[in-house]
Amino acid sequence: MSKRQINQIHNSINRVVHEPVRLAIMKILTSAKEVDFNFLLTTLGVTKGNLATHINKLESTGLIEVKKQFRGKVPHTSYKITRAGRRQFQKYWENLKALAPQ
Amino acid sequence: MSDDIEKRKVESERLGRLGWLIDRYAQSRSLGLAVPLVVVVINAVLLVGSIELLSWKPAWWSIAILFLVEAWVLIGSIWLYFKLWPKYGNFFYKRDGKIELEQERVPIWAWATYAFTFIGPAVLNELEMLPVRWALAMALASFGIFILYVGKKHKEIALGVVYGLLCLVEAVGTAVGVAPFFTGRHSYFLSLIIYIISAGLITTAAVHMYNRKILCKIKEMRPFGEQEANKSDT
Repeated sequence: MSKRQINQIHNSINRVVHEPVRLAIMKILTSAKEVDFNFLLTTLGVTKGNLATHINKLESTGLIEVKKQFRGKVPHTSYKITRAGRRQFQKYWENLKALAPQ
Repeated sequence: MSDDIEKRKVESERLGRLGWLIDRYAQSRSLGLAVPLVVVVINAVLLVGSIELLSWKPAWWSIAILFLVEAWVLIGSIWLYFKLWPKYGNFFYKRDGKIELEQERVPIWAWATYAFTFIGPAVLNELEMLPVRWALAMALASFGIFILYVGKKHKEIALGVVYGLLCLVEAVGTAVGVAPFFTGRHSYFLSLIIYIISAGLITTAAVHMYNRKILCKIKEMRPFGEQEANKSDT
């Protein structure tokens, strides 16, 4: 692979997905239909504030969809990956694979 | 950027493993199974009670009660599967959070085959065309295979494999001559219920222990550690 091609792939890597916590969130969401806030908190081990920040970033870029509802009087927030998010995540993995040393 | 990519590649491998563990963790939540097991016990008590009532006081109202109980057992089980299981499947895992996986629909032909092969032996046994031993073995084998199939379709792999295989082992054991729990009246029905409940309880406990073990592994290998609240990443 030429240097130019490598640079092209570097530049096309999605910077929003290219972050460990967000990458992990995307990974979980790709294999699930819907996940709630507590599940992400339990499995990722980040703080609530940190998780909320990453989720906001993913939501603002249209990679995930947030569903807020009430169960009785308790608010419940769940997340699912959007079609664009799935495409972006797939593309991110492909780029990463392309950069792997032969 | 190049170093960053190298670092990400190592992280992505760990992430792949983490993803696998999370998948297993999400597919091994078994405590919800306790709810339908309790309903099966209630159904069994209702059914045996109404049959005993009919033989003790044969009247139109005892026939009506038996009919109502049978209708409840047949419709109630299906209603239970579609309503209670999705609701209570995650009930015991509130603290861990909820995850819904993409499930495949169990086709009608699978339900029909299961119903035919599960109820068929009971009818044949009632008509004295099939001994208890073979009727039990056939019903347990049918239940075990169906559970294996549903487990795969509904992404409850651990539950399906353990419960299904236990039922198949019970079916083979019965077929090779292990005596049923009860002899005499209701021996087929009560033995079947006891086999299904005991396999269900063993499955609930074993799969739950596996679930906790997987959760510990996830906690051990989380690649991020604790982070400061609202820490910016850019």
